[in-house]
Amino acid sequence: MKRLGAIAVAITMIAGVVFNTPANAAAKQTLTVWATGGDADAAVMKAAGKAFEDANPGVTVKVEAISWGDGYAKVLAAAAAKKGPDVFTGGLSWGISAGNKGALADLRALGVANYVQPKVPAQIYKALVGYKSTKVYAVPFDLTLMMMFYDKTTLKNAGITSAPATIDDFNAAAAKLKTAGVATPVYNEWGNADWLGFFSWLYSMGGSLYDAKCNVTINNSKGVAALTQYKKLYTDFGAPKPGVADWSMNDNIKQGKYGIGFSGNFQASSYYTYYKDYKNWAAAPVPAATGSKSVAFIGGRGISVMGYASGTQQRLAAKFIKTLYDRSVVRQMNLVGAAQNSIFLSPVIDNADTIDAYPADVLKTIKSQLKDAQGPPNCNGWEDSQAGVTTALQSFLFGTATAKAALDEAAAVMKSKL
Amino acid sequence: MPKSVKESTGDVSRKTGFRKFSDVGISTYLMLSPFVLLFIVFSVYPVLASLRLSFMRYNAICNPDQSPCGSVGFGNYATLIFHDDRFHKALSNTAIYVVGAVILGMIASLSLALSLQEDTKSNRILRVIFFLPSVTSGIAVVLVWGWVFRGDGVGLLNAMLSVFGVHPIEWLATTWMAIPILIFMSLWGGAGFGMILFLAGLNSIPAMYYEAAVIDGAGPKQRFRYITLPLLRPVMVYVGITGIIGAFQIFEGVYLLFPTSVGSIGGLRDMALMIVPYLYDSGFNKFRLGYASAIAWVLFAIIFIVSMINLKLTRSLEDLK
Repeated sequence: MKRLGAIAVAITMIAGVVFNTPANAAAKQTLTVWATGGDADAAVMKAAGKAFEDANPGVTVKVEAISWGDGYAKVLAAAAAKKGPDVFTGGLSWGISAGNKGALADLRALGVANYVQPKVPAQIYKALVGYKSTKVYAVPFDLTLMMMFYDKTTLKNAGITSAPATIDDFNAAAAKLKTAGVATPVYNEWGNADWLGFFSWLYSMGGSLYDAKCNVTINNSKGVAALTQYKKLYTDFGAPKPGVADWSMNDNIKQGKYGIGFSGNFQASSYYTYYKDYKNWAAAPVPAATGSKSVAFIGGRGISVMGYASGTQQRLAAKFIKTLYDRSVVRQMNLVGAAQNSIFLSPVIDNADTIDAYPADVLKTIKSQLKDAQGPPNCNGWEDSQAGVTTALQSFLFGTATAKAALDEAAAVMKSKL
Repeated sequence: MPKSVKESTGDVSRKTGFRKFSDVGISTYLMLSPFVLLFIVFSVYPVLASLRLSFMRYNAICNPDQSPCGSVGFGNYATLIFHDDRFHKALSNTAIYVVGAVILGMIASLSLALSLQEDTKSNRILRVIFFLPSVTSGIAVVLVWGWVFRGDGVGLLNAMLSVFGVHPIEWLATTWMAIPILIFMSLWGGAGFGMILFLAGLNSIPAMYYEAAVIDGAGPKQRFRYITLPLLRPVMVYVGITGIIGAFQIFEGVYLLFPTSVGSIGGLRDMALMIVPYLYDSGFNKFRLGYASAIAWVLFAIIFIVSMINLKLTRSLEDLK
């Protein structure tokens, strides 16, 4: 009898909790966003979250920063546990890779892909959609663009009057910097001696990693010429190998120790916010072979919706993602970004105009470079090929292999993963 | 009296199964149970689960439509052993590192122990100094080494060498230097621990053996060769086996000093790629958990075989008993 009484009390208490829940609780929704990067990146995302909250009463956007180093593993771990964010931003290739594992929602079905596709450059959108895939697991969130940076005074002192536009001009300029006594005439900060660092040289000399049908093309004659040119940076122009110098090239460029540096537009972000009082910074497109376009590597982050999120959450996430391409939201993000020394570069090219911190010539450079930039390949197996390709390239850059042999080895790795 | 003892021992030896279990007392098992439970949950189960995963294609998400998980038989092992060039590179690098770190580590530890054997105040201080790296955080030590071996003029070693007019050396970007640097770091960090073990071994050797040898006319070299080394054999086996296991598991040094900027680990041309960092890369960067489990079991097999060979070669099984 006592037991029955206890059960009755328990049922009454549970029922009380259930039926006394406020009626408006169901209307409250929380969208959890993981922003890959640092605290500044999370702050920029929070600005978008704030705009979304203002436009959608009852919705809370919770933004958490996750690091680049283990972000991908965290996303997959969340997918495995079916617990974590509703939305995340991450590397451009994460969408294809995690999507193919079944971790992500199809953004085409959520109406995001069709909304975003016409707004962003086709070659950047393509980089996030798997070859022949009918599903879209990520759309571009922001961009990181490979550019050439230098100090105007350093180049002027070496007798160089303008930024080298062609590869021949670049070689001549680097030689002049060396003759002028610049300790490190060329410095690769982003993708040093890696496939990523090689990418812009390859594409700006008319080469490619794969063709449009994902046939491997890295080892053709253009690839050989590009890799031979890339090696000159290390053998002729004193570019430090990875692990030799630290990653911060700003002070070295400012002090005239480094001549020309290759890095992402995050350097421009640093120049024109943190170092804004120094007026000698300059940014230019990566050099191209005569008759070829300057094709910079474009990285950055894609944005995806987790597959385990409920239908309601996925629809809310889709609605949130669409706002990230709105000019007024991007402007809010850039105001926060400028204060955090981390300017947000929207994949909608015209939205670059909302970046007040950049001088007009830098904005012009970024916008022109974006039009022809290329993202990482969307071919099957590229993610798993990267390490092998890099090792193969280095066998020529720092080893005894010929350029052709190194590229043949890289091609073999890529073909084996297709 | 002897008879009763024999009867008594015979009686105990006949106890088996539940009688033996109940004689120990249920309270004993109750007190052991928290550890046993945690051991089963956090050690035994994961180990057995990883063995199962090593025969599977498994990424933890296992979406049946896109990336179904399932058995691949010995597929992971076959790929590792016959087709994976990076694993082969990791294996050869690890083998070189293990041989260098263990042999040189034992020589350094024994040399330190012999040098600091005498119980004087200065030796006690020196023992503490040499032992300190063993109790220092591994990550912190590796980061400090990173500054020592920086390849530009700011690196500590290069700054010191520049005093003698030596141009900066690209320590961490020169292919053949990677493994020697890792071995050197291992010696610096581990020789003190080995020294303590060897000191304990040296102090346990009765002095009368040396006194008798001196009377028989044995010199220092002969005393070392015929008394010290044979009687230190159990300690050497212990230091050797634990050193081998530790060396095979090298991770922090590679992960922190030899990263590559995009999508890989192991430094230029995989010069410092070792088995455990490769396992980490496969498992937690690429989420190929089945494949990473296979790497772990291959590593276990290698360590087990090498340890058994070590025991056999030194013929010290009896000593250890």
